[in-house]
Amino acid sequence: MSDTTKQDALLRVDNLVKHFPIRGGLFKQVKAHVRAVDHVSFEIERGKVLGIVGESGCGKTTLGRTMLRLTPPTDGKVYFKDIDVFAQNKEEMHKLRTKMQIIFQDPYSSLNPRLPVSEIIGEALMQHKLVENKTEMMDRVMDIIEKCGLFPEQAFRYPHQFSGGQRQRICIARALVLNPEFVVCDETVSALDVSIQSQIINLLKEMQEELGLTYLFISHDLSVIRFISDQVGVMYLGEIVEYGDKKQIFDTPRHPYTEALLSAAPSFDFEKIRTHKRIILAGDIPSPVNPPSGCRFHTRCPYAQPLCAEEVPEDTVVEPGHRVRCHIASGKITVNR
Amino acid sequence: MRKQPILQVKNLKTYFHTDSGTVKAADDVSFDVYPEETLGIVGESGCGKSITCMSIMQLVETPPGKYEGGEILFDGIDIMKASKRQIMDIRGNQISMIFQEPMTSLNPVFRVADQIAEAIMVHQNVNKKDAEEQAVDMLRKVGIPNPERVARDFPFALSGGMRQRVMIAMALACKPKILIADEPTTALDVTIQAQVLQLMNDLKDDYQTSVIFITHDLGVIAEMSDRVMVMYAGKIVELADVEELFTTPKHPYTIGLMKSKPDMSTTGDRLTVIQGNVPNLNRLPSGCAFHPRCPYVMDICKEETPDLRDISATRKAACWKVFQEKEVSYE
Repeated sequence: MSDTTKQDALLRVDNLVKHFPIRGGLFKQVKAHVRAVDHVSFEIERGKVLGIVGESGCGKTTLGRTMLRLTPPTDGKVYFKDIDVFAQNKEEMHKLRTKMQIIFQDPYSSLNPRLPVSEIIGEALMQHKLVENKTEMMDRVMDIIEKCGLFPEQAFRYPHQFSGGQRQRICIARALVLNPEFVVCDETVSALDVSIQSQIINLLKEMQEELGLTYLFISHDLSVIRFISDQVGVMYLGEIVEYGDKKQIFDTPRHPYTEALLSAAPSFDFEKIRTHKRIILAGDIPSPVNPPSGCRFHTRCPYAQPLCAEEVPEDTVVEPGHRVRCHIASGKITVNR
Repeated sequence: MRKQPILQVKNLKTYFHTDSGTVKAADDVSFDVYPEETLGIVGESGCGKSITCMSIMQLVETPPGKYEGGEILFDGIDIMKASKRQIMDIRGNQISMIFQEPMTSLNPVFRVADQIAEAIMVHQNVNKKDAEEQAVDMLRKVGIPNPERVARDFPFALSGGMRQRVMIAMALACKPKILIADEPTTALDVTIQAQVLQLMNDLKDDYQTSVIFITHDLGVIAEMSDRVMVMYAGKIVELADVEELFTTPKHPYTIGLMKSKPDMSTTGDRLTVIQGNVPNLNRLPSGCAFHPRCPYVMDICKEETPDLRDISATRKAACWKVFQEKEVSYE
């Protein structure tokens, strides 16, 4: 990880671990752990977008939530600027929360149905005492509503009066009204129709440029990740197996899982459909409770060799800023691709 | 020369009469399905793609739904007028369907083999033992490892991909002539989706089945279909051979849809968007339902609804602008 250490990192994640205990039996003893996030490290530069891509259960959502301390970490550190996020007391954390926001996937369940939009968006302003009174609050609310592509008169309506895309605009407005510096977008556009999805992606990009935001953009959709990210981290069973610039990940993927993922993504580019030989991975995603020994991907890897089942691969820097967790990349095994 | 269509849908109208007005979920929908082809239906939520297919299976709940008109011709029978017996003989036997959520469409309290065997016993004159043997056989065909053991499992013990394989096994158990797949891979992960799509393609060739494939995912539709029909607000707006549709889309909605989805080759800073929202089906705009969002809107679009017309031998579209261009090209 040392190769990308830069002064202007807004966020630094250092060996973050999150295990969920599974309890059972007579005295609800801990029987096992779901290893949702296992020793994840990366940095995000100010004003950049880090895309996290992976399949269900790979830990991408837990990663985002743990970074914001919405769920307590098991181990590791997260630094926001130079502030150790996990070491903050309640009051300090409360203050810090205005700087770190999250937008969720489902715009139907993440808005309080009993509050009008103005309250939903303004609530946090009042809570954090960022405004003196209601009039000032309304000014800020109206301002952000318009920026997010809603009409001022819609501020007094209730969430059920909005479509999915508009609700997601409300969620974005609610996150951005506090002037955050860092926003976690957790599958923010996944529940939306294609034509609405593009509107929201454009809005997120506009806001990022206008307000100088830094995003952690979590998605399972490779084409969305490719469009919005500067850096990309590919997660598999709690680990980041490959990390690099967007170009490095999409043009010259080095991890067999990244390769397979890119190859499996359906495309409507006919040039590609005609020439493209698809890699189809065998089997299902293993359970994160008992991840496979050695390299966690070895049970599905088309290049797996005996060593892969025994030894855990280390992060190998293959190019500046591009690291891969694979025995092929580290040169421990050789294969004919 | 194209073969005779195996299924013909003519002017299908499936409406829902609700307190807040009539929802025309499928409005004057006409299309043919040919033997051994895959017809893709693509559109956003509420465009009527599922209701169209539920109508073919006569699965729309009535009320609130009502079949207001049209014909669905299959094997010389008009499904819309068929007796309960005739429909039972077709449904699950000659036309079968797989759904998006494999967990809710499998019965949680029956073992996998029992559920597949039930479908076989209803439609074929076999005893339970033979039906169960056939069920295990089907599980093997859909690539389930250790099918004898999985056959005795309950659905909850299976992963999402495995459940969808079980659904496919059940749907194909009676060797149907048409398989309707309603968003079969939407709930699955990309790598699992790739497995299931490949399986469906292999089985389709083995069984010589026609497939109606419904999805909102343009990438999936491009890779699976021979022909594609695009639906918007209960109507077909464009229907063409897959490559033709994706390389030279004609309807402004199709064009917008393709531009707004980032593909693996999209570059640039912003995505092209279709302005506005998908209209509420009980308050549809006058004329062409797409006109408030259309960048090429003309006066006629606001007043008259365009019908689906032949643009070429392989393409149909419903758009005044496309009609005009066609006339210009004739002169």
